Amino acid sequence: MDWSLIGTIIAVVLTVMVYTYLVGDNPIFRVAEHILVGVSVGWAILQVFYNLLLPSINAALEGARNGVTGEIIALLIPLGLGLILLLRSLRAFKSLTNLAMALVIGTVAALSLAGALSGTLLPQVGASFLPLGEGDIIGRVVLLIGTIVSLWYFQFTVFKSPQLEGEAKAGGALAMVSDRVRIFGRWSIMLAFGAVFASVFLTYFAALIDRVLFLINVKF
Amino acid sequence: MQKVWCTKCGNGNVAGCRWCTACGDTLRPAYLDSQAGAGGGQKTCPVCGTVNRADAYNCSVCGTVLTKVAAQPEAQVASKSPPPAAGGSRLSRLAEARRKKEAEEGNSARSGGSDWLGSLRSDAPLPSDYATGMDEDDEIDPTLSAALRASQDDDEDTAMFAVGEPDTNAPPVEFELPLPMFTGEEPPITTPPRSMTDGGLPDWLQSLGGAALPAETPPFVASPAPSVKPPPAPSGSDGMPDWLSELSGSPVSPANPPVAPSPASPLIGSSGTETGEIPDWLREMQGGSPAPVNPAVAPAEEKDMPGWLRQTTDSLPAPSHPSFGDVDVEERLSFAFDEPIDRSSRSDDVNPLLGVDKPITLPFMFGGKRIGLTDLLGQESPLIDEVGTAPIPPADLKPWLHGLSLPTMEEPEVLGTMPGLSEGQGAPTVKGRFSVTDMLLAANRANVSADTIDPVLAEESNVSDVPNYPNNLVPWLQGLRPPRLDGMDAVEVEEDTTETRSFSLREMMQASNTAPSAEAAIPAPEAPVVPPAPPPPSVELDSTEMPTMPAWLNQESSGTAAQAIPSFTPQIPSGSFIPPLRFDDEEEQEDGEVIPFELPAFEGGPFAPSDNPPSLSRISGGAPADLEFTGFLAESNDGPGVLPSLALDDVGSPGFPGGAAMPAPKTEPADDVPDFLRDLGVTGSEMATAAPEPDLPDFLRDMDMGVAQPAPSAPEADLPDFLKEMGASGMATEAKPAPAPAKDDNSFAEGLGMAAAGMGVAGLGIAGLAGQDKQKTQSSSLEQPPPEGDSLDFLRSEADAMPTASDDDGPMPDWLAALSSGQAPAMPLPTPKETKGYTPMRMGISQAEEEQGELPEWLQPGGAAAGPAPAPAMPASEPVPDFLADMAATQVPPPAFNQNLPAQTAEQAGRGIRFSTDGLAPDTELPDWLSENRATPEAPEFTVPAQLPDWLDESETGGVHLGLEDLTSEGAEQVHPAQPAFESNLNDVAANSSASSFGGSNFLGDIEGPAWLRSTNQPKVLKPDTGQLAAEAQPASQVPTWLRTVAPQTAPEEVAVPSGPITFSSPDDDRLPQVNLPPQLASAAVLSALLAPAMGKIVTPQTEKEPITGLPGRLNTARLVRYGMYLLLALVVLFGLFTPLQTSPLTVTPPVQAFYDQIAALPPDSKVLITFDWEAGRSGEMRPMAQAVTQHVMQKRARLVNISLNPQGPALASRITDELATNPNYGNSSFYSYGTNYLNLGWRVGNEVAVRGLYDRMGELTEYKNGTVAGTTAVMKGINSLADFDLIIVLAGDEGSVRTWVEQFGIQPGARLLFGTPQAVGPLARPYALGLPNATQEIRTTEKQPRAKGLLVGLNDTAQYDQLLHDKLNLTTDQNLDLGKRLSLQSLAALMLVLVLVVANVIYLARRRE
Repeated sequence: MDWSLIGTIIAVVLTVMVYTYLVGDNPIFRVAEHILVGVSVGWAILQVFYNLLLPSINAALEGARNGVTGEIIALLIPLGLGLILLLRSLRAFKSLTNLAMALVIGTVAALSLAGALSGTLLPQVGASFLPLGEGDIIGRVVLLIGTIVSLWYFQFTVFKSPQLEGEAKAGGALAMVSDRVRIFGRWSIMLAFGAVFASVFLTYFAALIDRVLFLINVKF
Repeated sequence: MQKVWCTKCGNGNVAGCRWCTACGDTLRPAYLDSQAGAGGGQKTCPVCGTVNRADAYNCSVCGTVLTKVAAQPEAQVASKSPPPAAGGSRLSRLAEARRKKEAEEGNSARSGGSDWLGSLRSDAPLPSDYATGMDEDDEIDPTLSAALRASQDDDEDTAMFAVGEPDTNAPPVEFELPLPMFTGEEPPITTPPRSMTDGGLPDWLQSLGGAALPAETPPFVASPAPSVKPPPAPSGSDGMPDWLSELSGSPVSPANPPVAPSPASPLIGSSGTETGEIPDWLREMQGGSPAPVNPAVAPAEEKDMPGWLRQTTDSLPAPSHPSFGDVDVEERLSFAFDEPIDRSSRSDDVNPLLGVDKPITLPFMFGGKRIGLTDLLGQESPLIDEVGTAPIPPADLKPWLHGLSLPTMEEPEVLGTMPGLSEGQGAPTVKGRFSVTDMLLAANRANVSADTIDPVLAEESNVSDVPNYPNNLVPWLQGLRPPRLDGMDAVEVEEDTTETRSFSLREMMQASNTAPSAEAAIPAPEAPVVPPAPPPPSVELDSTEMPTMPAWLNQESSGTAAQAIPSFTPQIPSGSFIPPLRFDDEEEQEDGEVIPFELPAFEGGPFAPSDNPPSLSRISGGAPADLEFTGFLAESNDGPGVLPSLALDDVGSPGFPGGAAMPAPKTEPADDVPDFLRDLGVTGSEMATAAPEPDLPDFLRDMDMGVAQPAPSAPEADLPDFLKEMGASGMATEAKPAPAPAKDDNSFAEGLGMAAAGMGVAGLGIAGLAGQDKQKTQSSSLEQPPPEGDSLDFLRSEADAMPTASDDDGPMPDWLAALSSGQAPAMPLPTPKETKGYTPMRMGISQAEEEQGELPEWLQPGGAAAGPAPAPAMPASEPVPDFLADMAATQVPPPAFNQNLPAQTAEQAGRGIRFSTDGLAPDTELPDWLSENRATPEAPEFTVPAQLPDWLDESETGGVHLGLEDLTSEGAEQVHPAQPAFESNLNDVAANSSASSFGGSNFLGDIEGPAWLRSTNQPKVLKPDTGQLAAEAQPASQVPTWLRTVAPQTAPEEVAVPSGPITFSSPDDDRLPQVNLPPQLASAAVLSALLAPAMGKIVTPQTEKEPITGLPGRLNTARLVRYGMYLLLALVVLFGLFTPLQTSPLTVTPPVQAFYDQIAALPPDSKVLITFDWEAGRSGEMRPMAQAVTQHVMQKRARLVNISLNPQGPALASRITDELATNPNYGNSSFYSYGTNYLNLGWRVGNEVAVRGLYDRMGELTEYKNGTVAGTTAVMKGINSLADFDLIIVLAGDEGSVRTWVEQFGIQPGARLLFGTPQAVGPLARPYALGLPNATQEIRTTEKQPRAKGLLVGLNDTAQYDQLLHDKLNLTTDQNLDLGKRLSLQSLAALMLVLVLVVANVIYLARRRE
């Protein structure tokens, strides 16, 4: 018996079950949903066990066989921290688990912060101010303006509204300009959101197409 | 603009105002016109009346915890009939039950009727034709103003209740009686119509004391009484004497010609209980209805009525109505008399609720300008000034006291000299300021010895202008002071000693309490204050002149822990004798902590007739001091020796709680007991044992039975003289006594009974809040054997003790002359010099008798002959009211004070200040019913019912609250009455709409009252149809606030909010300015509410159902749109699949080209890492991309390593890679093998951490398929870090993966990253690849910016890439992917999306324009 055929049949059935949601929430959809979640979790556990725990245990045992205690200790430390994290549900060990959590969060935060600054923020700023003398000047100008007006949109305090009493004319003019800029910024943001929305739509429509093609091209 | 309509005056105030701009009353946000009519889904705050949202937990205004009782829709409320039914008081339910019973018996005609008691409320709205009888030029008598203010103060102060919870260290309860204070020379004070503020005694009660006790003719009543219209035909079928019916139930509308007196009226000779008993002057009193004057026929003609009475009838403000309730008293009366109610006699224009045909005029209208007390007095009301300093009630205030308004203004003190000790003992007379209450209290302690003066008190007495309160009172209760008369503000009293200091009379009482032999005398009233510069009444306290103050007044100064009035529902079978109630805790009684309380029986079982004094036992919770009815009941229990210094007017005075203890109920036969009283627990046997008292009307007996203590034996002959005298004077003053022929003693008895009933109710409440320091005395008094004496003897003695009305100018009516002359012993009158001051209470005639010289001669001993201007003697043939005649016949000389005093009463008297009258010998005998029922220690104790009602159960936590309502109500379902939330001005509106706007206590609503009481009430604004009113009951909100609060708390009902602003037709509404509720009181109530457990029935607000929109079932518009979209997409997909678009060759974009170039530039055996960071959900886009990229990499024969940051990535990578590597169709099977040329390292956990972990020791990882260490494979040769890879291609399914790789690896110098993302992630990943398309090769290679070298986004870029592979490398990708179809379908979908968006926006804009 071809197990791939069984897998294909199951995939078809589950696909149909999921699409029953088009007529509303129903038990069939929920069954498929639960199957998906369960399989995903089970798969994740297997991956953790076979890709993390088992290799680590094997490495420790191998180190022990080889008399390399350093590797054992190096593995026991994260193992201990992991066990401490398992005690998270116990309030009595909360202070202890906080240490492990602090280590994890601190490490991740440090990595993320450093990477965000050097990998995202500064490169994005640099990418927004590309030289206009070459390349797609219009696109870079649009990019520059869009970036400025989008950021200007979130300006709420520097320039007051001209409707406020006691405001000078000059200030009022600046405020009016600010309002106009903010309007453009809003439109720029809306365009960005629209692009994201369209992209998301296309992504999920591609998934629909994939499933439809699967159902059409399935061969038993 | 939103307006807040004043509940007092109807003035529309700007929203946001807290006080009325017209009258100063506290505005109720509930009366916002925008909220008017708001019905269901709202909660009414029991404290401030604010209508809050249904889901509100706290009041938006005062923060009071709102019970989770959703306000019932107005319609539902309106449908309630009678209003007090649901959620109402037990009395209301009793009334309802009675109605039902009557209906069953076919006597439905009796049911219904107007709640004249409720209509008697002072705060009842004025009728449209309400007008003042004064002209602009009329001069307001300052004395009257003072009286009015005092009366108003009474209103504010009478609500001084507190709950004592012995088990919870509850604060003591103190109730300061709002007795109006009169100087000896003050004119009779008629309580002006004023609103019943939160916390005042009913106006009619207060007015009884003042208006009913004219000592002498006031200056302002010199003008003759205006002509009055005869009342309409009496409704004798109302179940009460016709004359009462005439006065109350058959008002004559001004629009309708008055109906001639009934032929059966006593005015023309009829007798019995027919309509003829009412004298004309009584009719006059009722709303100013002119009675036909026929001197030839009746002596009760106007001419026979003293001028001051006549004046009072018209010029004086009408006494307040008894504002108790929502129960139709007429119905009660009818029920009591078993007579049908004839409502046909009422005119349409007559307000049946009010019973007046002519609006009672007030002398405070000046040309349309409302003149209040402040205006009249030219000064600010002290109440208004002091309300702001109201202390906050303690936290342990009982829940049922939440809505209790506690006017905490301090009682103004009167400057004067009050001898702290008896002069006879040489005690120094103290000069200082004292309040009316102090005087009352002092009078109550007339016999208190001064030997042991409390040093503390003495020290306190040195403090000037500082009110002294009982030491054991909690501070916030100490602020509760009774009002005072402004006229007494500056009473200077000469002191007999050199010591001059400010003190209060309370101090004196307390001081004298230590001097057993000392007697404090309250000066006799001086000459009336004459406008415009009225001399301040001189109050001189002389120990030898202080009359004996009743014990219930002593309670006020006792300072003992005030006890919560336990609310209970007596289950007393009909005819059962009301057993004595007493506290179980004898020890506490001895300690003075327990105030004995005599009330009708609580228990439902029949009680054998007992001679023991009724005592109140602890009801529940074991709280010894839960019950406190220490006032008049205890006083009457003092024995024969304790003779309350109450004049006749005292009985009728508002603050005279003893009215509730009016004797004689026990004397009536059982048959005379109304059913509803029988239900209250008066057993038939007990009633049978009682001596018949035919003179008292049934309803009076009922009231006595229900309110006061049943008299074991009180023969009619034992009627105390002073009571009889009260019937002549006190009642006459209230009801405009006239020399009407006394046809029947019932007239008097009714009047007295009504006063007693009404007062009794108040007295119960008052007594419940009496001070503590009197508890011991009263407790001890309970231990004494019951004094033997005639019924009402003590009252008689009071009458004797108190001077009678003195009026030099006023002619003595004949009937009075005959009465006085016919008495065997002339009442000893004090000499004028000995009675300079006055007694706190205006004791009317009795008080006037203190000064013989000031007494009108017609009142002086000797009768008419002694008077300088004696009224013409009553002809022998002239009919005299029976009650007057009887009084004259039975009047006995007043016994001396302290005669035959029982031990305990003597002791009590010794501790108190005796208001000596020098010669006034009060009757030493208590009525039998009092003596037998009270003083016996072995009186049957009240036993707690096995199953306490709910409200009792609740009160167990905080003490038992006993309310009069409980005493008089049936054992109806125990629902906590709602806290009063509104002023009663709107009650009429609510009543007319048959909406029970208030479900609060109504324990006075069931009490019948005579018409003359009804007539004294203010007119109503609305005049509903009489027929309709018959079926409508007054809303319980008419119950005074202080009464409502006393009653057990129930879930607040929806308050019927008037649909529109309350308008008073009379623009010249001369209502007195109302004292605002002190905000502190509201705060205190809030505090109490917060601390109190949630009470009341929880009603889950109904959630509104979604309206059905068009299509039935599931096919609504939204669903149709959604299904339409589904169908549209399906059509697009099917169309694209079966009719693929002819796509031209794709234009390869620079990013795609860059991506291609990066892979194409790989040298052979390069190390390429492809990450599969996407899941199966992205397979539609990522799988073709991954196949194309992997195919391209394999085409370059690079070592391929896969890794994934997604758990599903390794599987997807393995599937795609294995397919491309092993499938010979792709041309890679001959080269690539797993572990040799390509490897799958599987899933790496932890995004950033995982990526950072790949920088070293990468070979130690295990591969995905076999778990083999990667370093051992050929693929990983020379690869131990990410930096060892020539190219890293990140196929990220989400933005996080892109950022992770860029931030953790892209920042590394020389890193080469390529991104392939789905369309959804493209906008987020594209910035990392910007600038590359047009960048020069130099920039691409030399720049160090951490950016991606190439980017593939979605199917479009994948198709381009696939085209490049196909065009340049002739590579074949998975044909099953059918990228062309996918791209075509996606394009169609994009077009469809554009169309849908355009159409949707067009529709939106079109609708927007519409």
